[in-house]
Amino acid sequence: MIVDAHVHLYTADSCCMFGNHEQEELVLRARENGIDRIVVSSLGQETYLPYPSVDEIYEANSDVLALMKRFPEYVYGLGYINPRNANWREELLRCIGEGMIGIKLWISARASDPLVFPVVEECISSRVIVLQHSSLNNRGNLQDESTPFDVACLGRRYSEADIIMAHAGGNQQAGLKAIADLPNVYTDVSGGYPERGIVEKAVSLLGAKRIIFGSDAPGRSYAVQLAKVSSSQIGTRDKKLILGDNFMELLNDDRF
Amino acid sequence: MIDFDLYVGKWPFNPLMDCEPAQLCELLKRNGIHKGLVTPLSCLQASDCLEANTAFFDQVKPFSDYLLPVLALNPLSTTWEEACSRFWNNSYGIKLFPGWHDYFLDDPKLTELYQTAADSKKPIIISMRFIDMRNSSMSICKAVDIEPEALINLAANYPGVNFIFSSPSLWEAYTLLAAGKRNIFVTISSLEGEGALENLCALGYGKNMLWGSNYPFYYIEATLAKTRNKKLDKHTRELIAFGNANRLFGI
Repeated sequence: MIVDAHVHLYTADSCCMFGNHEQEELVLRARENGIDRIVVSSLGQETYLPYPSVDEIYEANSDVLALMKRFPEYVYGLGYINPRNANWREELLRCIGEGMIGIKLWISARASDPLVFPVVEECISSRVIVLQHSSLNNRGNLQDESTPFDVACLGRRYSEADIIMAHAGGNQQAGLKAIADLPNVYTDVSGGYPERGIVEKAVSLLGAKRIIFGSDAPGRSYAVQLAKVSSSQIGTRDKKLILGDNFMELLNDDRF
Repeated sequence: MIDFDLYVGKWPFNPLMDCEPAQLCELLKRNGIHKGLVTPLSCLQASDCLEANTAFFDQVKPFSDYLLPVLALNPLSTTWEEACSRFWNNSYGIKLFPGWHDYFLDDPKLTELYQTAADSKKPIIISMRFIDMRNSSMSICKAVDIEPEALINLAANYPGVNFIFSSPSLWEAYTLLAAGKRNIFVTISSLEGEGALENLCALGYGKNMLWGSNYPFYYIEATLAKTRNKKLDKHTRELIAFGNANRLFGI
């Protein structure tokens, strides 16, 4: 089974680059690429919103819920949460209550910011996963963008939380080392160009059991991101773990 | 299929990227790629452009059925003009790395190079990237982004030169192609996004795109996957894979 654990909805402003697509196209294209499940979040209807308002978050998450309802066997949802919004808990519980399996935290607050702590505590109570964006940009991160060290801080503080650090931390060498000693922190290998060695490095530093396939589609391509795993110099069993088994094991308890 | 984005040699920051000509030929054969325009990695680091290119042209000569050498120049090297005159005739193009070597493409010392390229119908290949500088672990690797607008101006100033922009991002490629210049071409190695390649082709840019893998930095399978996309019609796939190379460069 292949699970793509990092997919976003198309935004209105992406149509000049990707063409004008209905959201169901994400599902059809994933299927064409042999993907069995996709895990979807929306970062905004018009464009990706770093500090979404209460209404913007509601609309974004409602779009994901609509896609989940349309493809209930295929689409898992993650609720986009802005910890700065006063009603974050209400929105989180709405998303979980309607069947989402976790939340997506992007760049509205760093993972080490105390604002994030109650959100993660709620995820622990609700027994859902946290997909946390991360980057270690040589040219500097955005103001509230988490580094892998922020993610490690969060993972260390909450060992009961299941956290997926996105994009292998953005910098495989430093990013993966930051979470190496935290068994509750996984990483996805989504996004970026299909550089050789990313998956191999992740396996050598974390072991295959803590690596999860994700594409970051539609900004990235399913096929290209799949090639990062399928063409990597690792064993067949490890590829299988990364491509789907690890994620399904995360879900495969009595939570969902 | 013809790959316009290949490198050969050693990459000092990551042995995974090391790639000898014989290995590269095997990889191309295995993947149904008939020829590749290849550039020496050594030229990225070398202070002596002539020495690096001399070694490179000797190295790839036995593999000429598959590997078509491209002269890699750094105009800041004192020997670049000598390298140019010595290898010009044997080269399938000239590749420049302005972001990596840190110079401007409108530097007057390059004027003669552009003119000679126009006269001899050789493409000038300009590298936009080969690794992701944002997230690279190799902090020693610094390169500045090349603004597409500067490249469009360059192409406008030298209409007789075919410029191939190597490995632009989707946004960069879109900007370059939307300029509508007949002498602007892009390779597809860094073009990503669900629907992106089809969208560019639907806008009529298929005739300005060239197949490229950016191997050994990227997986060659990643670019293969892009052009296996069934949503691209056969004619467009063939244009990108080899038709444009045949028509424009006689390769």
